[in-house]
Amino acid sequence: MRIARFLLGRLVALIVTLLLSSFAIFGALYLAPGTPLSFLTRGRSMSPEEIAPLKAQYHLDEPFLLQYWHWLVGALHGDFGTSIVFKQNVLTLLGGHAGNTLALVSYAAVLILAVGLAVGTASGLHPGKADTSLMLGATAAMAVPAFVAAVVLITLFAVNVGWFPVFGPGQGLRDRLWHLTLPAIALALSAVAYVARLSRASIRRELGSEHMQTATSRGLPYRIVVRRHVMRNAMIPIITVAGLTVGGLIGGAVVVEQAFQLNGLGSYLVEAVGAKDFPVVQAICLIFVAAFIVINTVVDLVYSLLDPRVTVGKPAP
Amino acid sequence: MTQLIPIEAVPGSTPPADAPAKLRRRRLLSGLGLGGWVALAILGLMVVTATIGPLLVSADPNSISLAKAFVVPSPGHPLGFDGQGRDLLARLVYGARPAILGPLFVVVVSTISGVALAIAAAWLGGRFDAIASRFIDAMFAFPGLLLAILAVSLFGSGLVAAGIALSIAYTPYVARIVRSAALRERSLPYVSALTVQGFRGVTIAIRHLLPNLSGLIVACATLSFGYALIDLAALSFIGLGVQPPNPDWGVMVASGMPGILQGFPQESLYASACVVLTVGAVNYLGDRFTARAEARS
Repeated sequence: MRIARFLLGRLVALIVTLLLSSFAIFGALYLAPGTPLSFLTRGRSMSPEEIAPLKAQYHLDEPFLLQYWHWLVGALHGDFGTSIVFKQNVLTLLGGHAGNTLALVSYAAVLILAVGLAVGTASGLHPGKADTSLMLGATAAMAVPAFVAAVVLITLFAVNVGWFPVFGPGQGLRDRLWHLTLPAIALALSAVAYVARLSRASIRRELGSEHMQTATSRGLPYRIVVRRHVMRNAMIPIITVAGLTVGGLIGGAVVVEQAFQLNGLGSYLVEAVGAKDFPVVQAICLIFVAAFIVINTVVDLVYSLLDPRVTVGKPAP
Repeated sequence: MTQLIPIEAVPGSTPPADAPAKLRRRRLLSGLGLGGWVALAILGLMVVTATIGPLLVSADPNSISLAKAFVVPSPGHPLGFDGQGRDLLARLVYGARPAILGPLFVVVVSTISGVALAIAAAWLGGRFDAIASRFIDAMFAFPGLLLAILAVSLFGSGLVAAGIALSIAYTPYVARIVRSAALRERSLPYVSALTVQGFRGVTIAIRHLLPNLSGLIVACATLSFGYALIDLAALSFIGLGVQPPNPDWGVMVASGMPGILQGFPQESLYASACVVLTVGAVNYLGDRFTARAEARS
């Protein structure tokens, strides 16, 4: 019962946040200089026959809130309107790009979880020279933005030694993985370093705790102490932060797709901003923000359900 | 932008909370260690370059001369030339201006608005706090870079709209961290003591609460600077920030990419190095400040 109420509360919060952000994305049309119509058509000579469907698409003759309502209902049905530049349904246009972005972000997320956790755990459990230098490397890597990582990786591995292709998303599963390897590393690098540092610190904290001493003094083998008493506790903050960094990949994907010409949603967003194709900009922003909000909510839920100390239904003290 | 989570505490780097004012004032730069001073020196060098650097460089950062494309360094041109024959050192120095001053603007605006919102929420409590907290949560929904891109699509490319958008996007991060610290601070006896003495709430908040939170605020602002630098440079890199041919580090990383394929990666790599050095120095200092602020509370 309590869990049901808790889940319901989170669901309501999720919906409210989604509504607020969608409202902001729609309302942006009115923040722009000039009237909404002149903003949508700016820099183009359009005949009245072309302007009429645009007015109809945004219901510009109706009150503001009703316009938002029509837009939102359309978006929920997958109807993001018609691209001003290509005169095509926005969703159809996006369909060809979404796969690349999804593949890139998933690849990077796997790297963050696998490599970040592995490095952090190894460093945390085995103090010494290797640990110190790994953490020094991680601290340095945290200062490397995705676009710098992209440029350095292209210089080293695509141009100098030629192990990887420079640009493009590739075709077929193996070819795509091969094409996406450098972009995924560029996207994941600073988050991998962050997760590694955090896991190490978290494991060290648990290793020094009293319950760990108790378990050892009870004569439990080191392996079991680590698995049952150290890792289980250390994992809780790590999973939270790792989840949040995965949400943060969405902004980085725009940059990495542009650097490697991956033709995903992010590079299409940049293209649409340049071409002043506002329906497309709105649609991609809405998709990105919705994905970001949903990921954050899921991470929050997992955290609350994973940590028995967090009393479900009560805010943390 | 990631949250401000102290990764490890630095023991013994802070004087006790009741240290006299003179000691506390010196605290900002005390106990930085060798790394801290190196970071501070790098940062100082970058700030000096951004402010007076252009006066010291004689070459024109925008004069194109295809005959000099990718020409190697020579006396007077210590870094050589880019693919269009422009002096690389001059472009790096002029590019420091938007790269350093842009994030500075973002940090100042977001810190002031975030701290004001946080202290008002913590101090007034009740309904104002509830509304402010909801508002802060809702603003978390927008990744900073995405809000900046949306702003650029509304107001045109350049750093002004993007800078304002990023300031708005960073406000909730500052506000959330400072609000919880301010709530903790508010419940301490010295605040009640001042209230009993009849001081006004505003006076206590500004004269007593704010100075006690300053360590945390400085840590927060320092880390935000690094994130803002990355976001603004990324925006220029994808072509929506500073517009070429104007020099900026992000622009240079992007405009050097054709050169990489021809075997001349200097332009991209030098500009990348400037970004990484600055962000690394800022992050190092920010970590130090965070650990110290955490150790104090």
